[in-house]
Amino acid sequence: MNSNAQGRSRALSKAMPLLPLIIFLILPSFLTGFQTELIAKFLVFAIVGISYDLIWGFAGISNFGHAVFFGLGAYGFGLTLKYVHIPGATYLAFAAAILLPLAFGIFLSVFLHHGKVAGAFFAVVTMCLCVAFESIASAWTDVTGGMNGLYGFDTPVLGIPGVFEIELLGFTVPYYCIVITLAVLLLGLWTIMKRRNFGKVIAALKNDENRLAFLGYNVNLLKTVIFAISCAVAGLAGALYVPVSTISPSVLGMNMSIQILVWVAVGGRGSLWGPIIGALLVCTMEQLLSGILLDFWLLILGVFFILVVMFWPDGFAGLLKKAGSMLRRSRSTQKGDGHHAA
Amino acid sequence: MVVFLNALSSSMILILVSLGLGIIFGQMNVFNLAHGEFFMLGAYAAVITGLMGLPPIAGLIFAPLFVGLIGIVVERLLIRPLYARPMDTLLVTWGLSMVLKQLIQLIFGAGHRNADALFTGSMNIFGTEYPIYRIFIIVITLALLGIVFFLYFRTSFGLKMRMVIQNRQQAMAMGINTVSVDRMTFALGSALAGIAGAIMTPLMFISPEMGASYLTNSFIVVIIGGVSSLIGLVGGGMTYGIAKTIIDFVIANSFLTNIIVLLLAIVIIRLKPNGIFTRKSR
Amino acid sequence: MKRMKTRILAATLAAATLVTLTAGCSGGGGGDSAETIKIGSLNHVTGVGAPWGDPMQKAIELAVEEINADGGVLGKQIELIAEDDNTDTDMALQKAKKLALEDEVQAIFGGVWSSIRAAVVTNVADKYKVPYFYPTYNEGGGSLANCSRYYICTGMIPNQQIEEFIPYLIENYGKKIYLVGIDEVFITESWKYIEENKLVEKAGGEIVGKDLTSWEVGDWSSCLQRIKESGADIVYPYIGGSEMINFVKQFYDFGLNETMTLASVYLDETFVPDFPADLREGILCSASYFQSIDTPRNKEFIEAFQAKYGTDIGISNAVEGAYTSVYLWAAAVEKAGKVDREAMLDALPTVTVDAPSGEIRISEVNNHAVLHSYIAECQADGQFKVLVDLGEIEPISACDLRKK
Repeated sequence: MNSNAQGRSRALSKAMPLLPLIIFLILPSFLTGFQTELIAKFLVFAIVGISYDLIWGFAGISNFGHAVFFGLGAYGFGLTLKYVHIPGATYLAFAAAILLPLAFGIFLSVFLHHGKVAGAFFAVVTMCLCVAFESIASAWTDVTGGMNGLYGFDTPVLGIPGVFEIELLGFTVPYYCIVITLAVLLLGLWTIMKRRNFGKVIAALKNDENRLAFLGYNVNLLKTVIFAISCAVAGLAGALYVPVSTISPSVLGMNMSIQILVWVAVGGRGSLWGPIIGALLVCTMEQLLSGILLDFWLLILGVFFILVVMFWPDGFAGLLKKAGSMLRRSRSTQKGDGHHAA
Repeated sequence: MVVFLNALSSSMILILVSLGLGIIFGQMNVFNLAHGEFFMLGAYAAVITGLMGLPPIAGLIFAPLFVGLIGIVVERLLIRPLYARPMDTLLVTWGLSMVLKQLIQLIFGAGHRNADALFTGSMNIFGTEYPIYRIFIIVITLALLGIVFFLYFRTSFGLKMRMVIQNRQQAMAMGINTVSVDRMTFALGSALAGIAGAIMTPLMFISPEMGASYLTNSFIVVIIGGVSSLIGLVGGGMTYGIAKTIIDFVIANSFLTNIIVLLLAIVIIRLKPNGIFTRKSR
Repeated sequence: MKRMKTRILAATLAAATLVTLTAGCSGGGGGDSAETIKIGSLNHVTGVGAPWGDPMQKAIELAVEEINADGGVLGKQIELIAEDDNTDTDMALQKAKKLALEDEVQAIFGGVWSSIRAAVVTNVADKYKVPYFYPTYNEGGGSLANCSRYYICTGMIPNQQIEEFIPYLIENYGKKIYLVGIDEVFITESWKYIEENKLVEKAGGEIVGKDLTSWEVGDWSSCLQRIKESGADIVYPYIGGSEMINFVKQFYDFGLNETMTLASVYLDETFVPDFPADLREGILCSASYFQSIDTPRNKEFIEAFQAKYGTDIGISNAVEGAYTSVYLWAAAVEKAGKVDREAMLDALPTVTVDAPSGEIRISEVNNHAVLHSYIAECQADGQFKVLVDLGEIEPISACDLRKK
């Protein structure tokens, strides 16, 4: 009787992470096209949040300009679709969306980390860069469309050109599936990384860089590698952002960077589900609120952010976990004392 | 002559606005990301005294006291508990900046406010007509720098501050109450940000968003100038201000100027992470 | 046992995926109930655009309230769904889509920021065929963001706002004009308009300087120095947002207002009344509306607005434009005789509305408003005195809907 109950609860806890996935898969049939598109967009935000968590929660690198990579992905995607008119251009566009931020990210990491610019300085420099990029995107009207944004690019089309084509629009099923698939892949990547040596070394970066260097690891290389992965994912998320929104300078600006930071912090950094919960929670609240209520919400969010930084680094996800384990503990003490004593 | 005065007043504005940030960072290794909002609070202090019917000088007195007091509270509640976690201090000050901005917006509304200027008009200086207020800014910034120098180098409190900057552990070993030194430093830095805000009201818009404008600039001044010396900060401000004015004069395109100066600053940070003017390394 | 569990899990996942693949756009949005007609407003109530967006939102609510008190439209009450975009393009798009697809509103009202307008028109109004009434002056043009059956512009475009204004300035205030502007589409297009149409030269004037700057300047001393040395008579700043206040305050600080005239389409009741008296006196502006217009309709509007919201808010052309756009829509619906977006759009060019700014109607050529054009000068008391009433001006731009 005991082992069955335990076995069942263990199986349940293994299945738990899959529950949200199942919910997300079933959701579109209950929601309208608009709501599905909204969920998809929030998931794209969650993906860029995960990319940020990779460098921040995992490796401990504070980057205040992460939107730059997200935005470079979006602009790369849009620009390719605008100027390259060959069949299969969409695939090139995705490649551009990944390569552009990747290249810049590697350059930045090498430039700064090798110059021993780290910690608070790194954060401030990335902040300045973010401001610079937003300025450039706003002013370089001939290329980026300026303040109004980039328009006039072809609709992204997947599939095999000429044989079978799927338009990648926001509210379509293929789009939703792609986003979910990417999220799942990322989660998989995350889990594998955490268990493998590579992941453990990266995690060590956060805790004690000096000790790692002492042990003979090339710290700068490690930082660059994780930075590169993060930028590539952010760029991909940027490309996926385009069908559900529009490309404008704000996508690489400070507001976006701070949003990403807030999602991850509030949701819970260093955790798998933190960025997802954070992005979904914050974006949903902003969608539902307007005017003075929105102002109040932003105030509450700021206060919650402070509390998270000070007391609850695991954010909302951590709070949920604590609540969950408290519930489980109370349930097991309720059920099993007599049995356990034996 | 006017170009010189422009460069000088631009630099002085930068130094004025960055002074508070630099002092806090130099002392405590804390980048106060709420610095822009402290600046904004100082401006609103001037708005409040104006609404009460008091003359502009009241704003200049009330602002540093008001924001300094807020600084003490913030240090006690948010900074001190995170003493051992410098990156989290950075974040908590960012959260504070969000909260302060929202609070002001809820209390005063999102619109633009007004505060009267202490001086208006222009005066004749070295043969050219130049705005009195800009001269006033140069004078008062020098005065504030003078006060801070005096504090650092001629008072016992300043001695304690310098000891803590030099070697925190040893200062503690010698019985210095670093907690109170930190607290007073943070209050001082906040007060300086506040008075800067009140001083700048005649030259810029007053709204909850005003803090963001000078934040990036303040950081650049502090970082390129050198993080643990006051002279460095002045040097940084002057370099940045003069560079900006000259590049703008030569290119006559403010957009390019901003980009160039920003990128130059990043390069400098990379090449000389301790700032141009610091001799010792960290 | 384990394999069984894995199989169940796999089956559940497969089923869930299948459900997703077969899901279409299910469920339904609002639709109008029998009793009310839904319209939506999307304004910058919070964020950097709040100084403009908040009064505009209030104006729209006032209009809805008044029309409802008067019996509503076609006997039904108007239900206003108010959304705030926090002056953020992404959120604006999100909420516009919500208004269009979820709430299924008959029309969306509001907006100031060009980037947001472009995003909403291209991605929502034109795409989902929901009329979007935009009340702020803009650059006009033939691109989709400026030209669509579903984009109704009740703000001024260059031929209405600056074609007469610039020559008037040259003729009355001096030959030399200095242009200062932010590198943004509205500004660059306006300058193009001024130069291509030789507005300055035809009046006998000369452009003595052109300064294009970034969005955030802060310290304008270098630029103001150049202006001073140019010996300009008229300084014409095109600076959007709060940065304009920086420029004007420093312009004043350098004492340039004593020898130069400040004129701009931006300098209206939104912030000019807050400037010091000796600065604001003499500032010139061209707009489709000024708070001081002396007509019974305007007096009625101002009284109602101030009774509801107090006297502190400056009532600018954007505020009046937002108010009037609701009346225009309501009149079109009445004319159409039924609650239908297409019918409303067909009826729109055929109605006229007695607005606070004068008689307003929509031109069927480009769905822009035929507007009254006024040139006014700010007085010491903060109100603008109309110097010239140019009467009604048809909007002419590269947009021609008849060709589409």
